[in-house]
Amino acid sequence: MDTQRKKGVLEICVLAALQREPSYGYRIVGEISPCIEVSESTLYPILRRLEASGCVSTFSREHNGRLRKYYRIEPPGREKIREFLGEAEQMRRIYQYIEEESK
Amino acid sequence: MKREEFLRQLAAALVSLSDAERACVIDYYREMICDGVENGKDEEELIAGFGNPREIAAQILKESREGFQEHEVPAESPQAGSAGAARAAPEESVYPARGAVHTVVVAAQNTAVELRPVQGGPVTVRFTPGTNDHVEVYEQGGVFSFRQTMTFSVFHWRDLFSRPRRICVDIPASFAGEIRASTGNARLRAAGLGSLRAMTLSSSNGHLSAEGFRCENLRARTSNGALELRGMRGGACTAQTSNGRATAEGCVFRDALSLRSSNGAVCAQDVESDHIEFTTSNGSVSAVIRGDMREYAVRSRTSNASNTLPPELAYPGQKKSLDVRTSNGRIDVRFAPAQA
Repeated sequence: MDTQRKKGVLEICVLAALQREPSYGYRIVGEISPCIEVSESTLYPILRRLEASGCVSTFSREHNGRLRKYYRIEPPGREKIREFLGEAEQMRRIYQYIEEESK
Repeated sequence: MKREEFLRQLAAALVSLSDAERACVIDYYREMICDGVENGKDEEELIAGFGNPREIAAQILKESREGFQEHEVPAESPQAGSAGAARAAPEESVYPARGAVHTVVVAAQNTAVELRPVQGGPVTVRFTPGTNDHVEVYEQGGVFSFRQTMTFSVFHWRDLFSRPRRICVDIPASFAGEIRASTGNARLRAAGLGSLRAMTLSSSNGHLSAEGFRCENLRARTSNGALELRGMRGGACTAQTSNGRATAEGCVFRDALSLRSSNGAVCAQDVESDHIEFTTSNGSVSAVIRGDMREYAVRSRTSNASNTLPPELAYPGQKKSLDVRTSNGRIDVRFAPAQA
């Protein structure tokens, strides 16, 4: 997948992983990697970007004697998921057209 | 590569980032390593999977130029409710002990430590971690341990104007166990605590003080700072400084009181103990001891200055002792009647 597009899709996947409950870096990687290839090092800039744009907020919680950073989805993040899903129908039509023309 | 080496290389490659942003990256990777290892992964394999620290840093620097920093709220105009505002004014973190605790261990680096009394509640550490602080807390078998280290130490002129960094430890009045606290290059202070079984205070270059509580076995040690004990009670006390002044005022230690310095003065006012020892090499010793001199087997020595005590004066059957030594200072030790 083209990197720019993958970046955008990854953002949505991360947001989706946070929909049910707040989560932390390691778990997010584990959760979305079966669906899309992601490494710890690609996740960091995505989380920071989502945080900077207000799509997620963070808080720390103690775990095994250290602090673990949790990410929580915020309304702008949920809005982003809705937008993405809303585009799906349009994308399907585009795919269909390209497929038809490529036959 | 092991984790500390990886984090060090990564931090070094990120020097052009702001302190806060760099700490954020380091915390992220440290957490990933901890979580991975806890889930049974091999530390070195995991780290190899992250990629080369320089490449990771290059990617983060590029992304940070492109965008994720531009939304950050500048510190001068904090905006309510945004993620950036939380970083502009870092919040105090609270680390309470979960279970019953008999020993508290606090180890700090370049950060002042203050042990202070609270009415009730658990032993609690309060600290606002800075940009490159790393905090480890664990609790096991009644031992509560808080360790603060710094990934790397960067001096910034801004630090001169900010409030000194401090770790506060709340000790509930009912706590009667042991406390071990240490720091480097910063002040260490314990005041108004209840009654402790044992306490060890050590600082490498900082001022050290204990005030107004009871401790059965007190040990205090600093290298280049002053050492002060005020209104302390208990069994035995050993206080030592290398190049600072050692002071005790209004202290009663039933069994033993030892004040030592190498190059500083030793000064004791209104102290009481069965076995008293004042030692320094290049400073003077001045003291007022509450008690009757006739009960004490006295030994004193100075090479090059005046001395108010006899060099050696002991009778059979004396149960108390006073031992005063200095090489190049004056000795001025007097007795005053014990307080009623």
